[in-house]
Amino acid sequence: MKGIITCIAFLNFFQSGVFGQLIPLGYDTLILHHEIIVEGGIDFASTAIQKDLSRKFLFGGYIDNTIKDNSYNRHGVVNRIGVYGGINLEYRNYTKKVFKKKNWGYLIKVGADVFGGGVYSQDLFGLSFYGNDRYKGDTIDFSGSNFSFMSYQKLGFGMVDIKSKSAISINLYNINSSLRSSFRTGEITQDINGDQIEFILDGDVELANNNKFNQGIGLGFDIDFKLPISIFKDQISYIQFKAKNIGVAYMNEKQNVYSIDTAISLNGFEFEQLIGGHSIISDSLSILDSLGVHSIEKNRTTLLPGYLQVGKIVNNNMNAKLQSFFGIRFYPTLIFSPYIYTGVQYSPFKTVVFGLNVGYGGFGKFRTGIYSNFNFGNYSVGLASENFLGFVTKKASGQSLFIRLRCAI
Amino acid sequence: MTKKPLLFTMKNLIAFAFFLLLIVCCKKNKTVWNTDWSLPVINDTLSLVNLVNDSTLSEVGGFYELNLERTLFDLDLGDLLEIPDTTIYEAFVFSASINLPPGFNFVNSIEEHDLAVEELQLKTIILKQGFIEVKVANPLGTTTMFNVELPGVTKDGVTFTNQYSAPPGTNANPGIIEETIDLTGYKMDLTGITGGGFNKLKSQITVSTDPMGSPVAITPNEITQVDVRLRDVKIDYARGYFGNRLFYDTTIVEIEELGIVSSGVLDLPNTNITVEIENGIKVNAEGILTTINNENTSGNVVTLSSTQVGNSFNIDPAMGTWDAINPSLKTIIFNSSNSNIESFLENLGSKHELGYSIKLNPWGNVTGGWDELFPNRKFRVRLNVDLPLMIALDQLVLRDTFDLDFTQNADDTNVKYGELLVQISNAFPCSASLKLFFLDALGNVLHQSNGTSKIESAQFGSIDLESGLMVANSELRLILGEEILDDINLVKHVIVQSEFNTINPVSNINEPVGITVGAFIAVKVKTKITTENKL
Repeated sequence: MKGIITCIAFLNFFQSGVFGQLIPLGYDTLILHHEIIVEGGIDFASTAIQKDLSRKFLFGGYIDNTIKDNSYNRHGVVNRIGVYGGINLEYRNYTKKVFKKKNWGYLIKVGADVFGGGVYSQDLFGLSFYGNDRYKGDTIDFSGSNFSFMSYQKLGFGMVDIKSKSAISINLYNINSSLRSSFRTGEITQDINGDQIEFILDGDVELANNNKFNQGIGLGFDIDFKLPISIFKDQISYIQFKAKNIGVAYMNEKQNVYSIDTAISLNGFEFEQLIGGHSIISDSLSILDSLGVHSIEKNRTTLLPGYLQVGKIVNNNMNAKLQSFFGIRFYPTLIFSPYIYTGVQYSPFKTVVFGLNVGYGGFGKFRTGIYSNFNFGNYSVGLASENFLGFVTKKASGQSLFIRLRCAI
Repeated sequence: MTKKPLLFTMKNLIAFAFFLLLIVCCKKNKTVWNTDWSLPVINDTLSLVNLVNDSTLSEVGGFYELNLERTLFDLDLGDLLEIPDTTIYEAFVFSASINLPPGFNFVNSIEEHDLAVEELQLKTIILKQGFIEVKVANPLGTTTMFNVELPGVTKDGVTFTNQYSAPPGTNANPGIIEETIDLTGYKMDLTGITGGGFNKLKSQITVSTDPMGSPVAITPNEITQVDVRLRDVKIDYARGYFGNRLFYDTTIVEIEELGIVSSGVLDLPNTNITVEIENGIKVNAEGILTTINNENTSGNVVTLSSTQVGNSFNIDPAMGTWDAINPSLKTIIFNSSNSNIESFLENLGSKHELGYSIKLNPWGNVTGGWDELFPNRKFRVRLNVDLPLMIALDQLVLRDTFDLDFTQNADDTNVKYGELLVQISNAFPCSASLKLFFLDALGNVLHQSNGTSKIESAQFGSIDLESGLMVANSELRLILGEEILDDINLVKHVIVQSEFNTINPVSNINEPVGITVGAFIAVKVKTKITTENKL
């Protein structure tokens, strides 16, 4: 059984080419001196896009009409898509006390993360993957579409409680990519013959105007507190309050902000507009102006893509082989709906745990997760997926794989 | 615990982390999908309506007629009658040392100054523009008054006179005063003191010492002087003898629209071309049209042959005065009986050359110096063409070249297929076919795209209820296939070529046909492209 699950996990890991982010750490009061944790991975999810399409974006390849149709037909009025992931290295030292306080060690962490996604309509998917030609005599409506993306690197310093492993850290961030777009109104209407096309647009797009590695700097914090509560009789459970990457960033490099608020009806240009020195196509600014697009450059302050998570975690100090966990995670953004999850952990031996969980929300809908963790003396290796179906059927929406390597002495 | 296992562990963990990162970064192939886009590009209606009533077209019997009126040159003789800048220098010198009492006057007699104008014998002029710069230098030890008068230079009947008060000075450092006066609108009598001369400007300058000052001694070395400079003169009116002047030039007129004719035959009906020479100046002249020819895009030159080219003709002077002047008009008509005008026009020259020369007063001063130039009167040559647009086109090919700078990279998102859908409603009595040629930087044709059908002549159409005209509807496609788009980075020029015919539906041969008033061609062009998107 162990070998099968291990094989499945590693097989999928190499198939997908992504690597894992997070396995729920249990409450552990074991006294340690040093601890090194490397964790990473990626979670791609969608309410409608099937794995056969999303895999093309991970591994490359041609997206034919069958693949497009499979995903297109699953789209509803409002759809979500998103990805988060990264790789983080954390070192914890429980022997050196900070602030001369007996029970607090220190930690140092470095990492690189991405977070991005959006809410969109079926028509926007259709426009992106089929083009506008199939919408003759129809209206492409992508009002309410909202996308954002940020990638960053971080360096954090903090304290960790020797017993409960509760931790807090202050982090510095280098924002190397940021993109936002929002269309309050977005409608493209074409007549049946393609003679006329009408745009009603009200939205903004913001993106970097250069390729510099440093686009902004940020300051934020991570906290991880575990509080004992009594849910079942004669049994202590632990609630984990976790906040990660909570803070703000200042984009010190100016960002291009394109704003459009216009209603344009286009049925073709006159020859005078196309030919000669004053033609609109000889000047890209004229084209933008004629489309009602205005652009400015500006520095801005923005929230980091942090999340909050509250939930019951397993207690490693208990002898029970079967334990439950549950909780909720949310990002303070419209593109990510609150994600609720619950699951059970089974530990047949002290060195092995398996977990199964189900969740709903986030960038997707209903998802099933699986994880495992193996201890080899001071080392442990954990693998998990928050979307197990993503490994077994192409009809799944998204894929997820996390890995954690840990050394504790 | 020893440190060795920890270090060993850290190394392994970091190595494994890089290994994982490597897998993520090593995406072998791009994600590729195709999308189909369509967009209306052109929606316009072309007609000849804008050319009607702007001296290009007129409507005769329900058909258009070319009624071209163009001014070939417009000569303002006032700009040619130049008066160079002229300086009047007056000096006052005493032969012996004397003491001058306050208020002492010494007056010069009226002096004449020749204007340095060649060939011209001007008696009276009125200035459209002109300035006088006066500079007086006073070496006396008292304030000195200068009165400058230009007899015969008047405005509204008042002679030009002006007074200047120069401060005391010395011979080495005289008291100087300078002033510029605008002479615009002044009339100048240039007949001199006798009244029978020409080109002579008169002046009289009076100098007096300050009546309230002290007596002052003056020696022969102390020179009191006045400089009067007439500059930047332009003439509004002139009377005199304008000389035996010769003006000649060769004017080149480019008709760019005809530069796109590539080959084929245009058959025009008989027509007249009239050259009108209007003389608004009261002076006799003699003119010669030295050459008239045109050159088409094939380099073929046709010279207009006529006895009226190369031979001189007289141009009478204008009659009347001032606002009541009547220009003389010399009309030269070229038609089929006195010239090769038809073949001249059918050459469809895009470059026209017209040489002329005009000689004033060819018989000398026969008016007794009474040539006259009035304000805003000119020497003009106009061209009038009356041509019924009853034209036969036989495989007439027009081609025009446009630059193209479109690059794409096959490794990135690129256009795989393109199509131009052209929808035409044609009320002109000619058919046309369309071809696109794609050329590299050296002009070599790389690819060609032919329209899938031709634009049909209105003669093959039906009555359009809205316009009441015969209209033929056509639809054709120009395909930009993969082979063209694969080479699109090499394409630097695109030739649009169209071949026109006026085929008679009954006889099935190209025959002359009139262009109906209100004829139009409505054009809709839509694109459809397939992009190969790559991420």
